[in-house]
Amino acid sequence: MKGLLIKEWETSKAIFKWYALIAAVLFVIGAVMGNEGFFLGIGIFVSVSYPAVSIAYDDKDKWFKFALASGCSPRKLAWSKFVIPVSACFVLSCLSAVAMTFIQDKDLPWEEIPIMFAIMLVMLSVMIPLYIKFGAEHGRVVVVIIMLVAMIGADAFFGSFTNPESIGSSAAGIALSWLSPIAGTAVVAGSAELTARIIKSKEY
Amino acid sequence: MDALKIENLTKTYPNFTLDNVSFSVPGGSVVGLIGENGAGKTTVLKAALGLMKPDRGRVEIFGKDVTAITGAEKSRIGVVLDDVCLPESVTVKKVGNIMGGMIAGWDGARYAELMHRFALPADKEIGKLSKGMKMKTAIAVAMSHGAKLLILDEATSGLDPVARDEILDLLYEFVTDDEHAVLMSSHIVEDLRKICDHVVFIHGGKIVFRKTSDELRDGYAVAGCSDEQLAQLPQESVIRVRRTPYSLSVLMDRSVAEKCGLPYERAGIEDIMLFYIKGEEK
Repeated sequence: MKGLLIKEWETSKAIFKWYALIAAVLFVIGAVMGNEGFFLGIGIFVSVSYPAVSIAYDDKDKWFKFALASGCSPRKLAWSKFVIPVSACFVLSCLSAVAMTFIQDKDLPWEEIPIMFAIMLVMLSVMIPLYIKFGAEHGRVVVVIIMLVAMIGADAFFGSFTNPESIGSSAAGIALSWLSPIAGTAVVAGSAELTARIIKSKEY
Repeated sequence: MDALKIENLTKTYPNFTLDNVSFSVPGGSVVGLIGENGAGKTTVLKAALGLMKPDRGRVEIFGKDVTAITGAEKSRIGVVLDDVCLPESVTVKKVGNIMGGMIAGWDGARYAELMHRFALPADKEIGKLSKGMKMKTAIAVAMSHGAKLLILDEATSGLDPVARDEILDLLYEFVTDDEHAVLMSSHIVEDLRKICDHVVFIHGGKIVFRKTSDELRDGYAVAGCSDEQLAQLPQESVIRVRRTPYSLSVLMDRSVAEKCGLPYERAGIEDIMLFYIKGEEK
């Protein structure tokens, strides 16, 4: 697994420079406009686009063919595709919390942060097996549609929690806030196992 | 023990069928797999590596079914694929770091030694290397984790004659005992002639022959003759016939060609392939 993670990092670190730039711009816009939806937007952007880029590189290099021929298990390959983006989404969620402190004159529900993180995990869990199954090229159209639906749905979801009923002031909201990352993690684990099965069933 | 054993391997695709392929790679030997483009060589190698599920048949590596081999056991196989398949945005040196964390038994010192021997630029990205340098990197990887069996798919393709000679020397060193073996597919028949103990010829998804290098070198002749002379030759000694508007040539048993007094030349592997692919039966 260590070698797979080194490979993932080495092939994707150039992309993360661009993500950092986009995140910085969106965080500033979100903080200035007082709209935390921008924070969620960057998280969804990363969780949808990173797998596409990463798996496109793998397709081009025919990396899975070599890795499987060299003795890597489909399960290790599958999990290696999740570790970095899940970590990136966690970091983005923490940065969102920091960015929220800069939003003036607004009581923001910090409980949104775990829910944002969970949404990012769910997006990753949908994207990665899709791209592995259909390839980066063919999966793109489906992914764009899913991303639009997710961003609209997430914006509507958070919009429904504005004052006076904020997430933090209802028991259901607080419970959702605590349980959503756990549920998101479970979805990631299920998706990783599904991805392993897809990898195993393909011919290279 | 055979390092690799393939029995009755069959796989059907929409436009191609690999049909009942059987051969083995004995320990201490180099087996060459030859055939024209699309003959099925890569399909056979994919089956040997467990990258493809055959419709029928069995592949054993060191006596164990390939579907039951663990990751650690698979590290005993060194692989060079025709597409190289190394991440192109990573440097040659960092490929070693990746493999060190991925393949059991990785020998970083051996990789460094081979990098030096092949004059591979450590800090250059794989994608910026020439095809030959990429292939050398892949070969260095394959030979840096204590592999007992090397499976090479067109590994000398794109290499200059000096580099090919270097690789063949390495392969010689590799099979010094019965515990090591090599299966290599190649179009470069000169390389196969130099190093292979056995040659397996595959054509149209079927094995045409499995011969030792000695049998190939001494057993075949290409003779020119007329139709009348052809009619007089023993049926079983004539393997293939090639006709052109101006000549008729025959691939035949060399001992019979000598006895019949026909002008002939020893047939090389390439001649044999061409006669099988472009020739016809008597």
